Amino acid sequence: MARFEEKDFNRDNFNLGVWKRIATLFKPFYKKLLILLGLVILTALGDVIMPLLNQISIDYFASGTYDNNELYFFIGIYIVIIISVGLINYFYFRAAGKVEMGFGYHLRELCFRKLHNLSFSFYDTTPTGWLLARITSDISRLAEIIAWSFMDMAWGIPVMIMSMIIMLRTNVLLTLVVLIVVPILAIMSVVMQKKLLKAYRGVRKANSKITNSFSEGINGAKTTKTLGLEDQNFKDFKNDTKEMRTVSIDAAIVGAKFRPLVNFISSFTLALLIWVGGDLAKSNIITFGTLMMFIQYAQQFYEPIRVIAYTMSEFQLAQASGERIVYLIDSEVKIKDSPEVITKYGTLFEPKVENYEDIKGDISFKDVSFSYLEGETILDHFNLDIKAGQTIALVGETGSGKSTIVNLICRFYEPTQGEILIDGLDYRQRSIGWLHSKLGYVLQAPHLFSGTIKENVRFGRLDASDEEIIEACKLVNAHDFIMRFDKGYDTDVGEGGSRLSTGQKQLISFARAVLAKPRIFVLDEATASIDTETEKIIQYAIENIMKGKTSFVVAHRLSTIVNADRILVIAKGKIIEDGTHQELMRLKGHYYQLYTNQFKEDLAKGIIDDNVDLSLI
Amino acid sequence: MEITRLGFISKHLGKYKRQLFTLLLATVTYAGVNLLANLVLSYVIDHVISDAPITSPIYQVIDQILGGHQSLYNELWKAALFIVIIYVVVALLMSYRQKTQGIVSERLVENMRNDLYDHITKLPYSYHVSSKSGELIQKCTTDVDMVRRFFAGQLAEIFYILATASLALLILFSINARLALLASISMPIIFLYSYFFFRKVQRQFLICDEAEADMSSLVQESLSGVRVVKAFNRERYEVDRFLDKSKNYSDLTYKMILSMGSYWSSSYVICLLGILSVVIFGIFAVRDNTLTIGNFIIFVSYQSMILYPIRQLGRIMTDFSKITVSLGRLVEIMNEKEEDLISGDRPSLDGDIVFHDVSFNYDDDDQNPILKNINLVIKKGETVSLLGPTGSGKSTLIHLLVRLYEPTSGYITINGHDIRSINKVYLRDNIGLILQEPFLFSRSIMDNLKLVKPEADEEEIYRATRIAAVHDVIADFDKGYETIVGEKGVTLSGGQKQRVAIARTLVKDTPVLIFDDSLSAVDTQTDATIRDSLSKMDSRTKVIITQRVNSAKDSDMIYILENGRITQSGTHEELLKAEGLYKRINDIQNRLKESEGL
Repeated sequence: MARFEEKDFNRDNFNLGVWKRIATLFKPFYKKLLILLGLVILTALGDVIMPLLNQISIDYFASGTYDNNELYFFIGIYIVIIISVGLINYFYFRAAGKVEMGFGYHLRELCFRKLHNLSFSFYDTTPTGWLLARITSDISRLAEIIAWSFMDMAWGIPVMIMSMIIMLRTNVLLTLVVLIVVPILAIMSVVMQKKLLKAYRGVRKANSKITNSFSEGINGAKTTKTLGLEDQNFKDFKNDTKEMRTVSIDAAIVGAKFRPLVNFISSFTLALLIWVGGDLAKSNIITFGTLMMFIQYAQQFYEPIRVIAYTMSEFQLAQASGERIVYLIDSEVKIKDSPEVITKYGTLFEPKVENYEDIKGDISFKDVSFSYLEGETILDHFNLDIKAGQTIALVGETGSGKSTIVNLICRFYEPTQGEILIDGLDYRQRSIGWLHSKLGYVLQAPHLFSGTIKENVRFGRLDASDEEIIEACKLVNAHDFIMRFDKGYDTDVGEGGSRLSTGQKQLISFARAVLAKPRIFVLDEATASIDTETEKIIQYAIENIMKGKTSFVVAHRLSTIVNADRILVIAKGKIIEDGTHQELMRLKGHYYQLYTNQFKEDLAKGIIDDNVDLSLI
Repeated sequence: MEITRLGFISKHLGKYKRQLFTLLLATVTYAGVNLLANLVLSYVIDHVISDAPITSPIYQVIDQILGGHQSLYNELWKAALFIVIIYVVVALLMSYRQKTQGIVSERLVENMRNDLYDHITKLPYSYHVSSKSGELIQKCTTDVDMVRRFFAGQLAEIFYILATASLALLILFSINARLALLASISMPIIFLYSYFFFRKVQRQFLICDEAEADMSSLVQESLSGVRVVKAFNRERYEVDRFLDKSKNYSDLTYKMILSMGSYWSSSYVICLLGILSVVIFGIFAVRDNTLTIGNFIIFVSYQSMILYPIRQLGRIMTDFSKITVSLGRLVEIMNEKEEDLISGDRPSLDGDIVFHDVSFNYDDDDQNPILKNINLVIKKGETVSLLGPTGSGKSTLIHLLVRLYEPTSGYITINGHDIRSINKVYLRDNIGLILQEPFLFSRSIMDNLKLVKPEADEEEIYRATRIAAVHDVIADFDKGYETIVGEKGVTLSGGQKQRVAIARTLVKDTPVLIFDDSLSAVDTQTDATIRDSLSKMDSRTKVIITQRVNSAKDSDMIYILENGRITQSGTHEELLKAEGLYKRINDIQNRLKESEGL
C-alpha cells in the first residue's frame, strides 16, 4: 500500500491561486465582511478622536476661559463618544464573531461532505489524524485570521491615515518628527516577527518531541522496567528537555533583543517632541494641548505598525492552512456516479430513493482486472458468476485478492478494466447509494459509534422501530448480554464502543447489518478477532442471517465456513479451487491442507475442548 | 516525605531562585523608571517653559539633574537627552526581564519534566498497570506548561502592574491628594469587574472546549469508521450529525465571543469614564490654581497607564487559580512512592531458581489468591515450560521472579540468594523477560535493539535477530534496520513486534531468559524455528510460558498451572502417563493424526 506523503506546501511565497479560491469560498460572507469593515473604520475613528478631546480639555478648558455651559456640553459630548466607542467595539466583536463562526462552519461543512464523498483509495493513503487536523485546527485558524487578524490590519491603516491627516493640519514640522522613526520601526517589526515566528517554530517542534517522549516513557514503562532501561531512557529524555530549554531560551532572547529595541525607538519620538515641540511652545506656535496630542499620536502610531507586522507573519500560517483546506476540498473523487445516474437516482446526500430498484442478487465478474497501484495487478481478467441467495466463502492467504473481490462487489473500488454485473446490469449504471442501501457489511474489527447500543443498531436502518431493533439483536444472540446491562439497550457504548468487549461489539455490528435488511451480505473476516465462545454464538447468528441472501464470507478461521454453498480458494488473484467443503476435502488439495493445519493449530492452542466434533475432519 | 506545591517549585528552581529575585527587582525598577519620562515632560511644561515655582521634591531632583530650569530654557535638548537615557535604562531592564524570565521558567520546567519522567519510570509496575496513560501524559505536558507560562511572564507582570499602580499613586498623591483619591476609585472597580468576569467566563471557555472536543471526536469516529458509513449508505446521516455538532460548537463559541465583546467594550468604557472623571476634576483644579497644566497631563496619562494593566491583572489572577490546580496534580504524582532500585546486593545469579511455598494476591483482594503455595525448581541451564489456561497465574509467577510484585508469603531464591536481598535493576538485568505485548520505542529498529546494550556491534545484533527469525523480515523493509517503528505507514505486525522484542532481549545476553507467552502472535512454524535455534545457541536457563503444547513438548521440565496451583509436573513422557490436562490434549491430538491417516 502506498505510503502517505504530505504534499509539501510552500511556506514563503505568496500563492495567489489559493487566495482566489478562498475568496470564492468566502463569497456568502461578503456582505458581513462589508459591515465588519465599516465597524473597523468606526473603531479607528474612535481611537483617533480621543487625543483630540484631550487637546481640547487642556487648551480650552484647563488653560482658557470658558463658561460652564460649554464645559457641560463638552462633558456631554465626551460621554457620548465614550459610549459610542463602547458600542462600536461591541458590535465589532459581534460582527467578527459572526464572520469567524459562520465561515468556519461553512468550511467544515464543505470539508466533511467532501470526506464522505471521497472513495476508499483516498483513505488508504491519508491518515485520519491528518484529516482531523484539517477539519479542526486549519479551518479554525483560517477563519480566525480572516475575521480578526486581517481586520486588525484593516484597523491599523485608517488609524495611521487619519491621525496623519490631523497631525499634518495642525503642524507639519511635528508631524515629520513623529513620522521620522516610522520606516525604521516598520522594518524592525517585520524582521522581528519573522525571527520570532522562526524561533517559535523550533519551540513547537521541540515541544512535540517532549510530548512524544512522555507518551513513550509512560506507555513503555512496563517494558522499560523489565529491561532495566530506566537510566538509559532518562538520559535520552534529558537530552530532549535540554534541547527544549535551549531553543526556548533562544526564542526568549530573540524577544528580549527586539521588543525593548522597538520600544526604545518608538519612545525616541517622545524625546524629539519635547525638544522640538517645547521650542515651538515657547514661541507660542503651538499650545501644550497640541504638544500633548502629538505625544499621544506618536505613542499610538506604533500599535498599528506592530499589528500589521504581526498579521503579515500570520499570513503565512493562514496561507498554509488555506492551501491544505483547498487541497482537501478540491481533491478528486475517484468513484462517483455519472451525471445520467445522478439525474435518475440522486446524489449521496439527496438521494431519489423512490427510483431505487430491488436487487435479486445475481452477481457476475466479467473479465475484471484490478490494481490498487499502477503496475501491481491484483486481479487479472477475473471471471465469476454467483447465483442469487448463495453463500460464498473466500479463502486464501493475505494478499491473495480475496478482500479485493469483496471490496469490488461493495463498489468501494471499481474495476480498472471489465465490469461487474448485478442482476445482469453493470453496477455503474446505478448509483453508489442504491447499492449500499442494499448491502449488509460486517468488518473484521467492529466499529461502533459513541452513543447507546440502540443508536448503534439503528445505524443499519434509521426508521427501524425499537421492536425491530430488539428482534435483530435476538436473531444474532446479542439480546441476552444487552439485557444484562443495567440500562439495557440504552447503555452507552463509550467512544468507539470502548466499554464493550470485542465480541460484544461484533454482535452489535451483526445486529446492525441484520436490521438493514440487506440483499447482499458481506462478512470481511468478521470472526477473526473474537474468542472461541463468542465465535460459537456468532457462528449460529451468521447462518441465520445469510439465509436467502447472496452472501460473501472472507474467513481466516475455516471452521466458520464449512456450511457455505461454495468455497473459493483464491491465490494470486485466481480461483484455484471451487466447491463445497466436502468436495474440497475429498480433493485433498490446497483447502484440505489449510483446514487440517489450522485444526491442529487450534488444538495446540488448547482452545478446542472435548466437545469438538472430530467427524468433521 | 510529602512534597508541597511550594516545595515542588522551590526544589526545581534550585539556584535560579536568585535570578527570579533579581528579575522581580528589575521589573519593579523598570516600572518606576518608566513613570519618570512623563514627569520630565510635565517638568518641562510647568517649570521650564511656564516658569512656575518648583515645590514638589520629585521635580527638584529632576531640576538638579538637568542643571536648573533657567539654563534649560535655551537648551531643551538636555531634557530630550535625559528622556533618551531613561528609555535606554527602560530598554535594558525590559530586555533583562524578558531574557531572565525565559531562562528561569525554562530551567524550572526542564528540571520539573526531568524529575517527573524519572519519577514516573521508577514508579512500581502495579502503578503502571492501573494508571490511565493518556491522563498522565496530559498532566506531564499541559499542567507543566501552565506552570511555565506563569513563570515566563505572568508572575513578573503581576509585580509590574502592582509596582506601577502603587508608585504612580504615590506620585499622584504627592501632587494633589484629593484628585489622586478620585483617580484611585476606578482601580478597584476595574480590577473586581475583570476578576469576576474572567472567573465566570472560565466555565464558558470550558463548555466551548468540550463542544469542540465533541465535534472532533465525531469527525475522528466518522472517519475511522468510514467503511461502515459507506457500506450502510449513511453519508447523509453522518453529515447531519456532524453539522449538528459543528453548529453547536459555532453557536457556543459565538456566544462566548459576545461575552468577551461585552466585557472588553464595557471595561473599556469604564476605563475611559475613569479617565474622564480625572479630566473633569482636573479642569476644575487647574481653574482653581491647585493643579498646573503639566501635572494635569501627568494625572491623565498615569490614569491610563494604570487602568489598562489593572484590567489585565484581573485576568491573571483568575489564571492563578488554575495554576494551583495544575501544581496540585503534579505534586500528587510526585508523592506516589517509587520502587527501590538502589539498595540490594549484586551476587552471581548463575544458578538454580527455586520457589519456596510462594503465594500471592493483589493488595486489595485477599479473597482471590492468584498463586497458592507454589513450589518449583528451575535448574540452571535447563528449559522449563509453564503451561496453563488464561488466568491460571503463569504471568504473575514470572512477575514475582523479577520483583515486579512481591510474594504475599513464601520466597524465591536464585543461586541460593533470596531475591528480596538483590538489587532490582541488577536482578532484571540478569533475567531477560519478554512480555506478551512488548513495547517498541518509536525510533529505528536498530536503535531499539541497541537500547539494551549501546556498545553492541552489528554482528551481535544480527545474530540475535537471526535467532528470533526476524532478520530477513527487517532486511526486506525499504530502510532495513533504519526503519522507524510506527512511522507513517510502516507498522510491524504483532508477531514481528514480538520477534524484535525477543531479539532485543537476546542482545542483552542474560543468564536467564523468560518468554511470557511472547510467541503467541507468531505462527507455529516460526515458533518452532525460534525454539530450535535457541536450544542450539547456548546453555542459558529458559522459561517458556505458553498455551501451546508443541512449544512445551521438548522442555526438560513442564509445569501445569491451573487456578494458581501447580497440578502436574514432569517431562513430556512422564506427563503422558498421568491423567490430566496434558494427556487430554495429547489424546485428542492422536485421534486427529489417525483420522488424517485415513
